[in-house]
Amino acid sequence: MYALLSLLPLVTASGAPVAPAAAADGRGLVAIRAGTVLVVKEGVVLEGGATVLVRGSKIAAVGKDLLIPGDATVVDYGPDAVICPGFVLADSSLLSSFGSARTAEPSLSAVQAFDPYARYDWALAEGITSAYVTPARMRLIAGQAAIVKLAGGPEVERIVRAPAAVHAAINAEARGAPGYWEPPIPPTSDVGLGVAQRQLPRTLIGATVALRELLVAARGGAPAADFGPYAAMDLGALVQQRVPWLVSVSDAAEARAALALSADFGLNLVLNDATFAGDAADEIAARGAAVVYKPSFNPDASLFNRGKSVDAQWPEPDTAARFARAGVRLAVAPGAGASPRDLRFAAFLARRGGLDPAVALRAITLTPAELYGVADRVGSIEPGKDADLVVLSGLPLEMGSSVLSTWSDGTTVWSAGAGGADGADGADAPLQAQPVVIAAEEVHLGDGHVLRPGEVLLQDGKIAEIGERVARPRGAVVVRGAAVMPGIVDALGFLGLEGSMRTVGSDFRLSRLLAPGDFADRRVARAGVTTVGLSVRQSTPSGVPVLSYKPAAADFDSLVLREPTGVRLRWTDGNRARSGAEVRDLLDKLGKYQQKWAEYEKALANWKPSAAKPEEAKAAEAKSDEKKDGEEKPAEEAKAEGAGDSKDEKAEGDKKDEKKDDKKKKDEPEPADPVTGVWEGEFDLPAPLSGKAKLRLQLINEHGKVRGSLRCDAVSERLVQVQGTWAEKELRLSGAGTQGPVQFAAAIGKGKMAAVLGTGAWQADVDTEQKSKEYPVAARPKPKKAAAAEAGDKAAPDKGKPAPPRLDERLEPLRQAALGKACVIVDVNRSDEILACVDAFAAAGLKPVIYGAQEAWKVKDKLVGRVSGVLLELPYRRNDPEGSVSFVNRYSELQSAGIAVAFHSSAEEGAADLFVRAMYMVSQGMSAGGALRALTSDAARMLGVSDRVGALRVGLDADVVLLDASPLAEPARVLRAWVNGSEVLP
Amino acid sequence: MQTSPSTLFARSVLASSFALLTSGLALAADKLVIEAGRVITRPGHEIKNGVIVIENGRITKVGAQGEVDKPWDATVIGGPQYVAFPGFVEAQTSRGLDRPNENIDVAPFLDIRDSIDPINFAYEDYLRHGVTTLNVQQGGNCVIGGRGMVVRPVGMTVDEMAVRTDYALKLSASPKAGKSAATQAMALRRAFEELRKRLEKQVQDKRDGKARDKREALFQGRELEGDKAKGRAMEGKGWRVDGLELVPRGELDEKDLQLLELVEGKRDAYVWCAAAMDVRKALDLAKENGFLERTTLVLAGDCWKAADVVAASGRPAILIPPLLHVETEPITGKEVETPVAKVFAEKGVKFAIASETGQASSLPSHHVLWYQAALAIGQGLPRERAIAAVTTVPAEILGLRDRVGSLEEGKDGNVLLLDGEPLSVRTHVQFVVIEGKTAYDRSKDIRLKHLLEGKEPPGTQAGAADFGAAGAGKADAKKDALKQDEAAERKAGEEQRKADEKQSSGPHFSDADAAGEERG
Repeated sequence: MYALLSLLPLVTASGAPVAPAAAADGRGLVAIRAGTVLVVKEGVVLEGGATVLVRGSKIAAVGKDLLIPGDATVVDYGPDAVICPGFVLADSSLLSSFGSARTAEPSLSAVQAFDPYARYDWALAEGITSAYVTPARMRLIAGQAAIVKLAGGPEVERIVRAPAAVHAAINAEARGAPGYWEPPIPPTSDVGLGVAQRQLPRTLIGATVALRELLVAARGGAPAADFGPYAAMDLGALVQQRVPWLVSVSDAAEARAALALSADFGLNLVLNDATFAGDAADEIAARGAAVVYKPSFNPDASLFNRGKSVDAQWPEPDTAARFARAGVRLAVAPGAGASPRDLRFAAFLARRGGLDPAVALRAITLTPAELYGVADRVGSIEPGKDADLVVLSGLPLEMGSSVLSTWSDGTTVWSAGAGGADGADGADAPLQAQPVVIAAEEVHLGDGHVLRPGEVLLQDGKIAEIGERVARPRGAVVVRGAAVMPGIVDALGFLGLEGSMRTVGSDFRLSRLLAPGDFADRRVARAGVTTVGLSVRQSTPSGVPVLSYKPAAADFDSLVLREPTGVRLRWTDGNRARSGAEVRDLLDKLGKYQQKWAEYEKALANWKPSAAKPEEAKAAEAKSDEKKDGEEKPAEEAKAEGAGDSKDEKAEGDKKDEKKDDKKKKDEPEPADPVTGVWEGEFDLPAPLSGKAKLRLQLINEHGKVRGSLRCDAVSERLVQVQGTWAEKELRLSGAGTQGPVQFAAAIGKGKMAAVLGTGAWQADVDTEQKSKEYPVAARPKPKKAAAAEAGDKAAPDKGKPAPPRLDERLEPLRQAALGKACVIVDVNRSDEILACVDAFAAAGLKPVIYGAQEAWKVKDKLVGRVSGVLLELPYRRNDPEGSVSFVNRYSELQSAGIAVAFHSSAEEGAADLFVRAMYMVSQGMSAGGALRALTSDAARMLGVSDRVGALRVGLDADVVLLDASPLAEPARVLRAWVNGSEVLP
Repeated sequence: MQTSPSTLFARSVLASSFALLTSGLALAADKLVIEAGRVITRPGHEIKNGVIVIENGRITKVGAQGEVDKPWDATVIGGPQYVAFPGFVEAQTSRGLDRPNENIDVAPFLDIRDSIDPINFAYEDYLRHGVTTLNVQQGGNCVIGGRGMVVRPVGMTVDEMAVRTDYALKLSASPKAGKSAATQAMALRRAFEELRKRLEKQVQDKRDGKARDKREALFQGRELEGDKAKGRAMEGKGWRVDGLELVPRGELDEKDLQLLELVEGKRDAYVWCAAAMDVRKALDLAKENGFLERTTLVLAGDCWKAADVVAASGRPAILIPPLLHVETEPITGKEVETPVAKVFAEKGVKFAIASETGQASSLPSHHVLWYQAALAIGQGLPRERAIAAVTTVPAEILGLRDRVGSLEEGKDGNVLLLDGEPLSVRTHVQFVVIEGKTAYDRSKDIRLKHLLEGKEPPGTQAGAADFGAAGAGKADAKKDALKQDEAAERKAGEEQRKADEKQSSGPHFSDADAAGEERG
């Protein structure tokens, strides 16, 4: 029944107490695990994972490697949580009640005033499980105090010990008793109506004298009539039981007076609130008295003025440390007026002056328990004691750690995040909302800088702060490790394709293939790769899309970084002469496209809403209508043909040409272009085949050059890309299908085509009919913005407002790349081709990413500053000189020349080894810093997503990886990974 | 005592209404027959077309029309449109008093008969809503309060109202104003400790042969004859003072007698608990001092949380409105409502519902007993349980089980005639018969007429003319008389003014002698 959840335990979802299995007779076993357990006894700390075994309401065992019985409920708080004993308040004002009129009333009992039905959730939320409660204050002897449990309801026995102490005072508190006079009943004329008599004491001496009188009377000496008939009597019982005395003192003189009293009467003395009594530390230690130290700071009150005179007492911050150094038993409680909630901060303040943290922790747990005689039940995590535990997100006395869960008597009595906004109506997943602080010895920022040591704060999915010490928001998880680096970016990977070998057009939306966070994706992320630049396996000259996304993201919204991230083109062609032809074509078109957009933007900037030419507006509307028809039809056709084969045709760019022509000719009928369109037909298969076959052609005529696609099951299983010429009313097309080359020759009449279709094996006559004059746009989900834009166009056609040019999905990524927001990856290997490619792109104003780049080293000087980066293919070493055994590391060669390189996997889950590859490269001579850059920030920059991932910088996505050693310099392992601020769990 | 106008008004109203009643009663002798379409004798038992015969203040026969012989000389009231119901029993209240509590912490020697004000509006209101038996106790703002008594809400003097005097002591486990929980517990404990000490001292004095107490008793004028001269050993389950038989009862201080009786288990106690934490304290105190078997808990606020403790003790409880307890859950911040009566019913506690005694800020609805029972039904209490909680159970708690609480032969003739289903807001009490005498007739309720119809009561200046023909002539005469008075006053005023003018016109600053002489 083991389950691991980061810092939220297994069973508490609603905040209701966790009932251990089979707890009816209190014998249920619960095993509570955390990274660190502070036992407190003798300062023992169990680190690296420890378990507390709880049976019923008691602790059964504590240890690092405990054997947990199979029927135990396991509650695991994660490796960053800390368990310490429930805190014990050494003094509190929880019972806010006023006392007896008399100055000494020892029989007033806290048990009578304690309400077992009251809820102390606010104190349990700070980890306080037991408290000292006194029935009154501000009296010489206020009453008998008790130690109570703050959780459990009326069924549980809440009083741990009563009487636990005599609550007394000899400081100003003792002088607060009101006047006292009680009439006899019934009032008779013998006794006149009296005036409330002032009660002693009024001074320190008076208080000391009064206590002496009472103690003497308690022992059976002279009766102390001033204090009423009961005071001495009730005190006698308490003195006999050797109940400790908690005496409030302020300064050293009062402390000495109390010590003298305790010496004379053999009292078990605890000095309360000895804020100014630091000078008497040695004497206190000599007498064996204890001190409950209260730092004089009240967070809920305004800062108080201490007094300007020479005698005014200003509290020294190091008093507690002085007491501890002198050997006084020290307990710490929140200051007078401060809420008990601030106990941990009080202990933190008490540490000023050099108090050991272990002693400070003991001062709020075991020492108060020992002072009041309940150390056999509470105060430390030892077998046989009550199961009162506090689970924190960090060490209890560390700044910024907060309580995650509180256990009292073996049940969870409070849990962070339970109830409140969560519960039945809760919408927030607590895991996501939890900030994470990663504290590491080395923080590699990804751009070459390293913080030693440093911390990173992840909040709301982003990196919120980086520094040597960052803020710890409430509820933050603190993770410690050796090194932290940004998540690795796989510049070109296939994780997500699921083995598909398909090729798609560059307007295909790869995000349609993705499903977030499956098992393999998470493992890859836990190996360090948090972002993948996804593309299809084969690139084409006309381009395939590149998409950067996070495989281990938790949901679709955070999955995709940018779509499209870019295109991948292939420069090299089988026919060397044609290498780069298509790409050049594309770049030409890009030029025109860019020009159009520039014009549009200029026109938009100059446009003012005014009465514009209606004709142009109408023309624009007419065009947009046609556009819509064109898109809807192929969408329907695509649906009709069903799923399965990718019906993704290349987006046509020539619609824009047509529109431009139209604009020039101003509403003249479209020029006859008999070829462009969709042609369908059916024909009989010739011998030796039989049956009918359907044929569908989609063609587009670009000034005599025709290209398109042919679909005929008999000819090819897949879509056949055809190209050819249209000249003198004759159409000739050729292409390659899966079963061989395909030839097509046709003559076109009015909307009818008589053609001859030939494969290598047979020929057939085909009659087809033109179904549509539009070259169909690929059926793809319309991006909402475009739809809205169109709707906007239709809805409010501002007359004369320049309409934006039609978005060409093929050229758009290139245009974005020119603006620096996308990437262009070009497959090219030979050096001359590389140069040609780079030149061509430079002419278009782009810096491509060269993929393959076998011979880039030959022209590396010419590439500096003109390429965005290089992605190398195997082999990564180059023999130099050629044929010898000496080799050169191609990565470092290029990187040291000033060309950015990045690591890419070209694999699916093989991306998990990307970090190992980088380590190998470093072992073969690459610089560690450079390799780290290549893994992270350079890769991100090449993909054009450096505004989101790739470095540890405030504002970037919280994709962070924790390692157990310095990355790339030592054999490091990736231990844990966070994507968008939430940890990736196996 | 200064009588406020409202008291004057009440007095006049009651006087006139009482006059009407007595005139009616003169005819009835002491036999009354009540007929009703439904006679609900006790929760769960109903007689259709029933008849109740009351003779000499007791029910002699209850049955269906045909089965019961009606005395020929009896007054018959009621009709088929009515529902006869036993008079409600208020288990505990502190309304109708001069003030609910005294300032003295421990005052068991006080008797509530000195505090009951028979013409207080509370009794009229109780009568209007059909409560025929009330247990009037001191309020809960005490440590040990005085003795209460059971009364009926009719009568011009306390004696006329009394059903059972010198009844039960009131204690409070919840802090009195000015005390904390700890000091209250201490005061309670000390009250009994001091009693014990005083008794022990008296025994010791007697053993030592001191005669101080006898002298004190004689000085205070207490009787030392007969029974009072004998001593009696102390009984009691809690603690005992050995040798108390040495002390003649007459020599015991009067102020100690009540607590002594309580400790000996001879007196009932009602212990007020305003919070759940006080329930256990109350029961522990009662157990320690030997009066647990005579304790009834009066529970308000969130005492339902301690319903287990109450059930385990086996003691009955009286629930004080509001019976729907609302509190905020600390973790979620949501308000949680708990139906108090239902919780106690489910835990198996015998409880009565009483009306609010004014400890906290109370709504008018809290003072109407049947309405609280009806609310409890709405919150999930079974109907019969709710009816029992305002009739039979309080009768049992008060020790008057064979006298009130249901309509059975031999019980007191306290009957209500309702015009509809009992415990419904549409039903009104039409007649209230207390021990065979019609104590309330809604058709003649002057205050209701004033409230609902705007008819001014008789005896008041403006309304004399409206109230029936009989008063009309008198009203005219009164009006004339008033006019004459006014005229006379005016005259007198004018004369006085003239006299003043004469005076003032003379020299202001004349000799003091002359001025003094004139004024004389």
